Amino acid sequence: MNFFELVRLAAVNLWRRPLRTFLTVLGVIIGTLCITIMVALGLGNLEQFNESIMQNSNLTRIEVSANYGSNVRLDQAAVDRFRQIPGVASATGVSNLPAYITMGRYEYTGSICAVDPAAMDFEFGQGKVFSQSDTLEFVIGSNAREYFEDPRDRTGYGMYSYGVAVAVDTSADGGEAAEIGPDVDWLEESLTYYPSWGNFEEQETTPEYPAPKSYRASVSGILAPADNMESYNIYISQDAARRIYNENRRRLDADSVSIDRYDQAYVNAADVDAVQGILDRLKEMGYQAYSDTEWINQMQEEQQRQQSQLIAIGLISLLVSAIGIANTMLASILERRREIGVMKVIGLSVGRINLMFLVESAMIGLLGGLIGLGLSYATAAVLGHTGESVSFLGMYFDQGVRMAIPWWLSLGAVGIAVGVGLLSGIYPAWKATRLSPLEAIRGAES
Amino acid sequence: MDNMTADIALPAVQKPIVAARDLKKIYCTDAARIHALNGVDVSIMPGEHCAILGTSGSGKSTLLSLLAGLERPTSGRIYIMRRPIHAMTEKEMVDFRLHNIGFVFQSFNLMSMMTAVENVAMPLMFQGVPKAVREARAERLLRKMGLAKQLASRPSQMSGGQQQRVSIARALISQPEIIFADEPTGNLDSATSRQIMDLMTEAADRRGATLIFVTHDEDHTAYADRVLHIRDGIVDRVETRTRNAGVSTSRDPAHEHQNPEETASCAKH
Repeated sequence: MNFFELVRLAAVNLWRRPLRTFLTVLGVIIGTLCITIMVALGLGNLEQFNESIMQNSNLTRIEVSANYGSNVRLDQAAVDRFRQIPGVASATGVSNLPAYITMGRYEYTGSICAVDPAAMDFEFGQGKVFSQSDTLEFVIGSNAREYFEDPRDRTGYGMYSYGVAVAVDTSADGGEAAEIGPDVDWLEESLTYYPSWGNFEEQETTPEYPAPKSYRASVSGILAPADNMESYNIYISQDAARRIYNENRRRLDADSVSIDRYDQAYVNAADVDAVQGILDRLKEMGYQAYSDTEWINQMQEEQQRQQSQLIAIGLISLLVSAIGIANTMLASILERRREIGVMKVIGLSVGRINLMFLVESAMIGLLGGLIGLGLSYATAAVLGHTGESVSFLGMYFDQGVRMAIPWWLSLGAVGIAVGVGLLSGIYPAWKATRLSPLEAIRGAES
Repeated sequence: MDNMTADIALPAVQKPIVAARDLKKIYCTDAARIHALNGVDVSIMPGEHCAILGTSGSGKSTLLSLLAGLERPTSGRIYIMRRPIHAMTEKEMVDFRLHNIGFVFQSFNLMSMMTAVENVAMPLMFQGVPKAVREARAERLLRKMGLAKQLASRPSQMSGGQQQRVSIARALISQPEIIFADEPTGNLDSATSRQIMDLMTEAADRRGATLIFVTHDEDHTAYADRVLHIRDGIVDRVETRTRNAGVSTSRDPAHEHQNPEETASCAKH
């Protein structure tokens, strides 16, 4: 008897009690549905998370700072050493200078960063990078434009109270259509910069704390809209920063602003895989080093933990269905004792009988697995089209409950269902092989 | 060379097709040991029709299941077609039954989910015969047995007599050397019983197959060449007889020359 006929016979036998078979299969359907949806939810959540990460973070960027109170210096020599670390593409020190900038009736209060643009991956919405000289040119982050405010207008759109951003439109891909901050032609404006924490006019000046010098400045470029840190900063060249520092040394020293020691450094890895090695090396050198990948790894671990909990729920429901299959198979075998006996008398070997029942229980698993998978796809399609943001089982979804069912999940879910069927058929099938052929000739009870 | 010539000249006459020596079967229960068979010797010749007659509990069914290799004897030896059944592995025994033995049961034991044709073709399915071939053969056999209208019927749609005829067809389909029947008419009325016995013995004769059947009905011994009376686990008496004329119209001449002396010596106490 070939395998195909064995399968056909198994199908015929399952059809013998359609309702019982259906109920048993239903158990597997629920189990498969459970496990597929749980995993698909986790994967969908992870996908969404990864997409937003890819949009908003620079995965090869490592931020370096000196440990507080330690004696490792974060200066140009250190940055040069960072460049020697294998896998590093570029590096720059970052110094922050106090800034009070006026542009017509608008004022900016905050700080500006001096960086080496070669290490910054600037993407410009308009204009270009500042010139590598000590003339003062600004590169302004797309969102930083909002910090320029009119001190006489306390009601209008885009008001800030010291650096707290409000309603920033970053997603608009209309480019320049989405105007942020003062409606002026930025590249043509003439600005005045003072190295001061805020408006200094009411400040008392002493020989130890002289008034800041003023600098004429212009905007060389505006960064393209993005939802990252650069978008909220204003950048100048390191040479310009050096000049400002040298010309305002006494005041800046009093403000404990230094340019010889960097506040921070950016180290860019050549690719994402190199990041961990560089992080380790920087930490060995005694610096604090941080990359978004660390946070992402943490998030991914958290996701995996959550995922395994969901899988556990699915597995429990499959376990329950396994008990159902075993129970059905045992009942079915008890019912068919006589027929099994007859088959044995006629000449069906123990191995074939064993196989026949295993095929039968595997078919229950397969049937349940396939139907369960089909329902999972249907569920994913329905829930994915609601379009609203939902919070479900501790996961947050932007646009409908998002489920991802990759091929390996489909295959795995059906595989597990068949496996559960097979496993729960082992004992009943063995039991069937142990039945005596004499069952066939015993009494006439049917 | 001489031996071979002798074998051809005297086909199968000297050698019993079923032979059992000193068969014992003891069933152990918690309470007692039950001696179902207590030393039975049997020799059955090829083509012979042998009835095993006894009351219920006499051990007649046990004898049948031992001879057919469904159970193993506690002690003793069984040879079927000169092969030692008692020493075979289960797998060998199953394979042996599939190719050499047909079985007819008291309660028909057809597969409830299969049609008459599928039921009859089942042994061929186990043998690996392709579906089209085996079902054509099954159909031809069923038509011959007057079941042309029941080919596609399920057992539940057939009368007892029809079911037993299907069951006989199933026993014959693989052209076995030996047919075992366990009270084949036990569930049938007397008129149908006669039809079934006629059919079975005729079919066995046409093929020259050996028929061994268990019965508790004295009347059915009329279909046998020899009757083994079983009582309390031993062969009480062996009766050799001529089958009644009404049953067998065309006897296979090859089996006519079995003489009483030979058959009488086949079984002893």
